[in-house]
Amino acid sequence: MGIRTLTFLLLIISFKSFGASCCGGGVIMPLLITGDYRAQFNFTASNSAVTYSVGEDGDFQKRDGTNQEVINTFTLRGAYQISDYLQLGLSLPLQNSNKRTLNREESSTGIGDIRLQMAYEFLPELSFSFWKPRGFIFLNQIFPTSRSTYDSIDPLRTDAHGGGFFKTSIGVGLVKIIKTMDFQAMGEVHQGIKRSFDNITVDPSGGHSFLLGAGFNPGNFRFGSSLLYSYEGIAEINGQINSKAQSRYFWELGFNVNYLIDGFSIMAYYSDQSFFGKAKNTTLSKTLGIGLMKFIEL
Amino acid sequence: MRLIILIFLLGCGDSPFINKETSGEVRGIPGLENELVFPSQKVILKTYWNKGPIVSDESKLTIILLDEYGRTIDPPLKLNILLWMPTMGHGSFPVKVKKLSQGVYEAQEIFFTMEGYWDIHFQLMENNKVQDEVKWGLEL
Repeated sequence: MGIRTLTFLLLIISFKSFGASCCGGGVIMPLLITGDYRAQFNFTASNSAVTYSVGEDGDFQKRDGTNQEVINTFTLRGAYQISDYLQLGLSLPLQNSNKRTLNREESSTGIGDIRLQMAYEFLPELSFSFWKPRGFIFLNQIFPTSRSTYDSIDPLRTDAHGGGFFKTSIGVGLVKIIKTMDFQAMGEVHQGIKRSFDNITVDPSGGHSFLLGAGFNPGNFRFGSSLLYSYEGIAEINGQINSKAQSRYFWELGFNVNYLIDGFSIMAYYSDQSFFGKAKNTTLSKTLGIGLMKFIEL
Repeated sequence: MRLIILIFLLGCGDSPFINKETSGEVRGIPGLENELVFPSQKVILKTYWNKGPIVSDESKLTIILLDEYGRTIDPPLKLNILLWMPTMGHGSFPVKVKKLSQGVYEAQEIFFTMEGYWDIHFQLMENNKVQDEVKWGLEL
């Protein structure tokens, strides 16, 4: 039970990858195998509605019926253990973006940014410890396989399914189970690579994020919550426009429920980026999602 | 199960912690018209909104170019209009500039794709390079 619980705890963490809509996704999360499995696969489907725009001074502006933005995301993730402590992961998102205003409606479906990950378990749980967590270090690479806000061709930019940059992230995840409770902590730093588009060159600076989570596990159920903070630094734009984009951040509160049955884990989750009322220079959304996960034994 | 229902019901409401909320009204230049000057070319540019400005729908802007004597003139170089959101660091869909008569133009397909502060850049271009530029800021 402990290993299985641990496994879907880490997958829950990997589900928490919803960033603000204009900003191509706010945080990178690992795809980790933490149980005695050769591989694991999961599929999630989520519906995300943008509810607020937040200015650089932290002013919240609520979206109303004349400006609706909804994003449906379907993500297939897989992870494969290549040795006792080393593993690889891959994430393939498909995104359907919709905008509706008073007189115009626009929709676009396309592949999002693909992610590859390598992870190493640097703190294995070889014997019982009341306090020592399991620890993983991960290297995550995002490939800009989709259009972004910099090279979008649709008027309302619904075809901007990605962030637009090669982005490398390094981070650490810690997981601990104490009786029927579980706890997670994770932090990462990332850096995007300067890239030229049609008439501008964008040089993104770094960013970081961290996540704290806890859950209660009665029987085959798990009830969890999480707190996520995501920060992106300034970006310099040169070319036809010379400008400096300001930094941005948001806080997100999440809840999730899991049920384990016959080697599958079924989950539902909800997250709200506006709950704490703390954000800057971004859009905020509320997300509902479901997921299904399958483990392949060693 | 009650907890799950409560969580999903909470999702329909607003956060009690949001205390800096704005109305979303346009807070740019009073009267929503403006007069700018291309410094190197000594061309006066007057702008009037035909439609909008509005977020996530098409806005249209009439542009009148005048010389120093107040006569309508065509721009000496190609007139280009570019929307830019400086704090976010991104632009928008390309703006179409249509000539109505000598010195009178209409900017069409202006899409402010989200709320916030936007700069409208009026550029005089030669060989795809900006030779002169003025900008107009709007808070939407």
